Amino acid sequence: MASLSYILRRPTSEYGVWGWLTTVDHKKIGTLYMVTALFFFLIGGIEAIMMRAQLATPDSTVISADLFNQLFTMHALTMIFLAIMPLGVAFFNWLVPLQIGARDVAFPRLNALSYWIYLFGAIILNLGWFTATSPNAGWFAYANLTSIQYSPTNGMDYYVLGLLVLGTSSLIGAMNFVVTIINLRAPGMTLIRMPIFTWMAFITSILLVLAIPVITIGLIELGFDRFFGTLFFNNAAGDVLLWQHLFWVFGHPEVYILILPAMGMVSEIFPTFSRKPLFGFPVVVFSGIAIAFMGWSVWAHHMFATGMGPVPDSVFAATTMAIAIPTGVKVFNWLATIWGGNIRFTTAMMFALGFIALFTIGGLSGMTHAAAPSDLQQTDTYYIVAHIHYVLFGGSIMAIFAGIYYWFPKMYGRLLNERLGKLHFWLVFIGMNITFGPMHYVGLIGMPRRNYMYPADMGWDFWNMVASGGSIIMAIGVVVFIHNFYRSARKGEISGDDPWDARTLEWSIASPPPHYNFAEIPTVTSGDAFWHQKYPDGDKGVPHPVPSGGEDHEEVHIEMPRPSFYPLITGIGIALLGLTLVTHPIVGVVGLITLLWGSYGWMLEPAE
Amino acid sequence: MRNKWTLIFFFITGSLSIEKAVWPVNMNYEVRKLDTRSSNLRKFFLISVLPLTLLLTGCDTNLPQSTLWSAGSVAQSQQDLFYLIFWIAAIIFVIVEGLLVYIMVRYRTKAGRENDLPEQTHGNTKLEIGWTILPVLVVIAVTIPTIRGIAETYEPPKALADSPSITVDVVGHQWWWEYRYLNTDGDVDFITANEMHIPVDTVVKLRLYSDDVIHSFSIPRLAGTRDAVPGRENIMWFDAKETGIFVGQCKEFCGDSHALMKTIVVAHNAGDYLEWSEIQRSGNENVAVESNAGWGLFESKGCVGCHTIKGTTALGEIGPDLTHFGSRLTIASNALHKGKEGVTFTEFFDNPTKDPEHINLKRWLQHPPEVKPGSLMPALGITDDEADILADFLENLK
Repeated sequence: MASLSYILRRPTSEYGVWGWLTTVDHKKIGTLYMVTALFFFLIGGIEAIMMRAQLATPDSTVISADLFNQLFTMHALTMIFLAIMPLGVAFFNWLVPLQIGARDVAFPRLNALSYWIYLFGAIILNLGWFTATSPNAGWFAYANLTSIQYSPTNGMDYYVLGLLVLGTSSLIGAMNFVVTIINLRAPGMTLIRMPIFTWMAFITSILLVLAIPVITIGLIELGFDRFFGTLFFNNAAGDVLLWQHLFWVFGHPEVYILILPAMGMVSEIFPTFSRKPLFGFPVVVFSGIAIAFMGWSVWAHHMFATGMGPVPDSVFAATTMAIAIPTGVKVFNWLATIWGGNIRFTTAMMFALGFIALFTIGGLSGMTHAAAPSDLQQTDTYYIVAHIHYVLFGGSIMAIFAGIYYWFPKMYGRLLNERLGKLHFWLVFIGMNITFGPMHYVGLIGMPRRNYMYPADMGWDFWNMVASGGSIIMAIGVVVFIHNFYRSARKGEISGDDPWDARTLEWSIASPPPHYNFAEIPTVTSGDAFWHQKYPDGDKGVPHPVPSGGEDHEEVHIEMPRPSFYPLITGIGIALLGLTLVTHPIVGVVGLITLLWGSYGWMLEPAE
Repeated sequence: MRNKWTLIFFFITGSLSIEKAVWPVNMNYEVRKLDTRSSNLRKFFLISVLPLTLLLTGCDTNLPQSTLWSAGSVAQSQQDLFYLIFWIAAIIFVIVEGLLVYIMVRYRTKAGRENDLPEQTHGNTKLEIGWTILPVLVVIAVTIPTIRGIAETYEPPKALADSPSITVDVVGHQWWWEYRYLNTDGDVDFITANEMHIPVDTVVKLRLYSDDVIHSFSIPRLAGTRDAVPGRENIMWFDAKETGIFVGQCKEFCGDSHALMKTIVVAHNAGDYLEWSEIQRSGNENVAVESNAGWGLFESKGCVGCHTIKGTTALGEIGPDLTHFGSRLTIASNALHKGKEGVTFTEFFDNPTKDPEHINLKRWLQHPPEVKPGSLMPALGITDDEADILADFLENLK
């Protein structure tokens, strides 16, 4: 059996295409995640623009009903599973080991596998575009519209298989980060000294480990219904509403999976650019934990219209309202962090401030539909569309942009152009408000969502045109960003190791960091470890020049996990197995063999 | 038109003032130093209060499908609850955003002092407790009225227990609504489709069912949504405080023509309602005669297989009951109306004058999947002449 591991010689190159395909370096995997997720962010954006083109005018016939249904389904799936979640994971990959003073994650090859499965899952989910049969029953995929009878195309098959594969990726990645954060912290880094972003990554990973199995159960049952004729979600033999419960028991924690990393990022950015520590650090941590716990008790607020009865309606309305408390506490702590600070308006800081401004609006509109009777009017209208975009675009995406501007120098050793960055900020900030702001009003005057066309003269015409115009402004902003990213990665101003005078350990080493991150594992004696190295005289001390990462610049030989083909091969095996049910059994056989090859090669390959 | 100018003004003032306030990096510091406290306040006002006020006063909520123009008890209490929370949220909005803008203006860095260290505060227990209790109070303030209102979305409150009531079973189909009126014994009295007629000031109790996938019944001016779930029975109720036509549409995504699964509720005074229900109870036997060319087509084209005309041999139950189709205002679950082409739904419902040429109806008869994607009614190859005859026939089903 040992010969198996010689079928592919263990790769040694860290450069070029093979370097990327075989890498197990958390930083390169982070970059792969980020570039792939940004690509899908653009795809999701194009889907959105197509919908806005259709909805710009009443009685529009730009695109057909079926295509529109595919577009809104895929827009949500793409943005949630292929853009925002993996962008969060991209930051986890880049930052968690650096922030806790580790040389890599606990399971480097597993980390690579997680990326490859994500990529293949994303491709499976998008396969439908090649035959114009993408998933078309909404990202929430309410049974029994998803049954073979009402969704006869392959669309919902891609949904089931794509999400199952993607779920595997999330689960593997999340477990890896939980283990990494628990075990690989530098000496002296107690949990309360751990940087806030890593804290939020920790909480998010635990949420993922718990939430993904719930959707997996739902997806397997739905897959069985579609492929093997079981009746889990059949209205006579099974239960149509069972799907909704399974989906939202996953779906609501999912919302916090999308927003907690964003909260972690801005919680790093405010202190740096206010030159003050995070106000109420333990409170910010605990409110994050509280949100994660309470996120499990609110799922049925998505289901007030299903007629659960007055008692469940009341309970879920109350728990939903209650989640506003830790969220409010976080917002106040951020405000207190910048209060009294010395605020530098870098692009990263502007995006982070934009996050507070917009996320607050999303939170407040959330209150009006936590009130069940009021929600019955707002549910499935554009008011909800406005709400989720203020939370996910105004919240998650704004924070992710902030994070990219903030950590880009660490990734590339170069600064993103600030001038283009500010242009990007204003275009996105203004465009976003013009697009989603009026949707509150349009929803309140009765325009339902997921309608491929709407009649004229209902009071909706003008505002839909405005929203479509705003989406163009946002799109231009994103183009500016992509240009900035591409240009700055190659020609941007050299940043130095610590361009922002930041606070956490990742800034104590070279930019970009050497392969092994830390030549010498740091010993931590306080929170904001790097800050206290630089300003050892205490809070009002004079900056104390510590040559940050000075010795790291010399080539040090440190034994690191070597690249491997097997995560990629294993990933291909899993993807092929996933595709069996929509293609041909032979694909499954090939997939199984590939999977066995990948996993045996992996087992027998020396880990070091 | 007021809306447009409000919006334009809002975004110009809003974005310009925000831009002025938080663009200090590239601006000349010397110029900024001239800013007085009062001009900061002015910005604060512009940014946080003015746009909100403009938005509130500028928006017309009296629109056909508006959730904020209630014409019934249920919609009224939902609207009241919304406004209560909205105003509380508006206050929080002004406080938080105002604070944010104030901090950005007040604590922005000064040229040459970018590296100064401000006082390093780590936290404050009293503040933390304070801003935990504050949201707790807000949450309690909005949760109590919320819970009080929930039961009323299912069944009428005691105050209305003695008022007159009717019961209608609503069945959702892809993509139309079937209405089965029940008599006092709970048996089906008569069946109609897509247009629900009700008496004013009467409690209308609905039982909701679905024939295929999940649909959601909602008439925003009368009451918010309740789902029609296959395999289950749901309940809701509403009343209308005024006569008129109220529009609504399916709100749960239900497939291709979800957007076209619309309906109207027509509220009459009691006398007119009685008259209408008398007609609905009767059949239309006299149309099914050999001399009626329309009936001949209706039979030979197979329409009878899916549609019912009470009193004739047309007993199909797949499509909507057409017994009194001629008295309806809309076609194919409101995908089209019976007015002239180019007239909007809103204009037509304000002044329901039917098109004597039946252009819309003929379009539907000849090209159903074009009008309504995924429609179960197939294109039957109906010629223009046949369409004329069929349209006349259908319009005479009074």
